[in-house]
Amino acid sequence: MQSTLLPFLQWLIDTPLAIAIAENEVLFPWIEAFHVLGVTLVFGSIVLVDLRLLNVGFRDREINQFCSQYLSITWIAFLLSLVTGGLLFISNAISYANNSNFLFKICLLICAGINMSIFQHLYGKKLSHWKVSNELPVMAKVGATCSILIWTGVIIFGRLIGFSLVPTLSNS
Amino acid sequence: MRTSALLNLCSSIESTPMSLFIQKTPWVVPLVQIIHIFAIALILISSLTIYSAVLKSNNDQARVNKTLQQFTTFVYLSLSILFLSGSILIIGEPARSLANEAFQIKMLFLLSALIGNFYLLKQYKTTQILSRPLCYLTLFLWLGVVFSGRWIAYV
Repeated sequence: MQSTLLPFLQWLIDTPLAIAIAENEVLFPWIEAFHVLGVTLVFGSIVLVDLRLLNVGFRDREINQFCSQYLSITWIAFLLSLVTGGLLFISNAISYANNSNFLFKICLLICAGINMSIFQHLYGKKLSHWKVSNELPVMAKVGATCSILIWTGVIIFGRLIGFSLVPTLSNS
Repeated sequence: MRTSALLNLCSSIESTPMSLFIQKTPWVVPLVQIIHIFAIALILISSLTIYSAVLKSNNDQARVNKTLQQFTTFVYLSLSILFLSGSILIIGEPARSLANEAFQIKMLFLLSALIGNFYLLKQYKTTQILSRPLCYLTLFLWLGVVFSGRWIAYV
């Protein structure tokens, strides 16, 4: 995989934007700070919704109303994470592509996307009919549990990248 | 701020048995940092939910009070986790934190955000005049906590 991707990864690293991020003393830390903000907001908002689906908390709130309250935060934060994550990646693409923690994180993000798509496909339209969590099908609760586990993994492997990769400016 | 007294304090913390244990055990710092990030996620989303409820209240005080009641618990829970995990990180790497300007700025932001949060909760139950500006101010302060926290690694 590496040999076929290598020219593309090298091209990414050589782009003026990637060079600017890698060589500028403040750009990389600022982008990383926004990335942390985005990822923590995605994680926080998704876990709150999942806890509501599992009937662990916020039982007095209607499921549909509660989910839609966090939908915009989740998407804006996800977009922020995606853009900043992409910028961080291009600054050191080959190292990231060879980092197992980064690859695990990407795999988990794909799993999160698949899990969410299945949930939306099966239960998205029915969500407004369920006032309380007891009416939720077992599979919806399984999906919520998977979601919490997957996003927890995203945070864990995301943080471990910092310990296993030599970044542009620092050792952490 | 890097006074000699502060650096001496860092040195004395560094030589404590607990600090030595953290320094010699490679998994402690990553594990505690991960827990720290979970707590940051919890406090951010809880604070955002509180501010959003106050800003969109439209005089529905009962709804806002319910949100305040529910999410203040999460704020205190995550604060406790942040305090514990942060303390472990400081003990493990005192010079990297206490003597670091980004860390000192983070503490200023954190203290201001906590005062802002406390004043917002107290004030909302009485006059509510300053609630909206306090929401924006405290949100800005929490962003400062996150950003300066990430900058600790680079200063």
